[in-house]
Amino acid sequence: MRHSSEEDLILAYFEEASDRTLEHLRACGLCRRELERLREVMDATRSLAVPDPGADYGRRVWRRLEPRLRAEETAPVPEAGLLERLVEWWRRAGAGWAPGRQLGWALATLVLVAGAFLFGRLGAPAPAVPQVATSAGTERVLLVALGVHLERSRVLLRELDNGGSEITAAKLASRADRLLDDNRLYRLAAGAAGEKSAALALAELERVLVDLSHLDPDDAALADVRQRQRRRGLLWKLEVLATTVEDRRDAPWASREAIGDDHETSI
Amino acid sequence: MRHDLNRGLSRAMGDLSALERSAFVLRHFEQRSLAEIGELLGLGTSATKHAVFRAVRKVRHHLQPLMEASP
Repeated sequence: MRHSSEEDLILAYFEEASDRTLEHLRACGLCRRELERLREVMDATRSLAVPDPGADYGRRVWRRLEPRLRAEETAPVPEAGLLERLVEWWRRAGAGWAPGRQLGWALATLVLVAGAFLFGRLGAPAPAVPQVATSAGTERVLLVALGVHLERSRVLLRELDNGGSEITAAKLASRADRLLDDNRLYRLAAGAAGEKSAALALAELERVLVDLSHLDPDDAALADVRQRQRRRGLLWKLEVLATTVEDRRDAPWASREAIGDDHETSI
Repeated sequence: MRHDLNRGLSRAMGDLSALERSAFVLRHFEQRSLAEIGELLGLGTSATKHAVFRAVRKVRHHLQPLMEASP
């Protein structure tokens, strides 16, 4: 008799086991006991504080990146669009890290994904943003760009929400299509950085943008998208996210350093 | 005991990669489906499952000894 693997048991704990695993668990006391051991540990974690997947990770990223970014202050910054510079910045930040390091891996994954995505849209103009001047300025540029993206998205959603007769499906579709590519990159970046709330909000925004970009010139379809985005409370979620981004953008660099002092764990 | 578990969980979370941590929190604490997590993190189903598997293994590695040592 083949016993259940640890992976089978993990899926069983999350109630996603295959019928074969379930059948085996009914018949095998050994595997049931092993599942119970797993359940005890996993259930115990539920009574603990929910770990933040983003905050300390973000701080550690910045602690790690800051010296490298300072070294870049004197380096010439190539003329490029924001997305290209974003990817290049991540690529350079991750390049010196030892293979296997968690963060390097996450960034490498992100760069691959973002790179593949960018290669797929060669020729598309990237939004113009201020030049990178300092290390704190580098982050600020990214936050400013994300803030601009969120503002454009909110304007689009407000127009969709208030939808007068002058709003046409064709106009909304064209603007949504322009926002969609940037939104995908920001969502991937937020996910890879463990910024859970931002990734969720951007994922919801992406669904609406996809819906809008595929609109036919048909009032019924437009009303349907409008209803869905209202049900999701998306505009409110984007307001919250935009406020967070603005706060981070405007926070003094010194205070951000102080926040990271509690997290000396290696990455 | 609770304090030890909190520290153990904190250490375990520090041991996870960003993707593993995101996948674990989304699956375990937010009860998102593997398909949803894959969509959010830009991963396929298999990669999502393996991120969750690795995360659970690491969490067990840190917490199981603490639980079994407790009276």
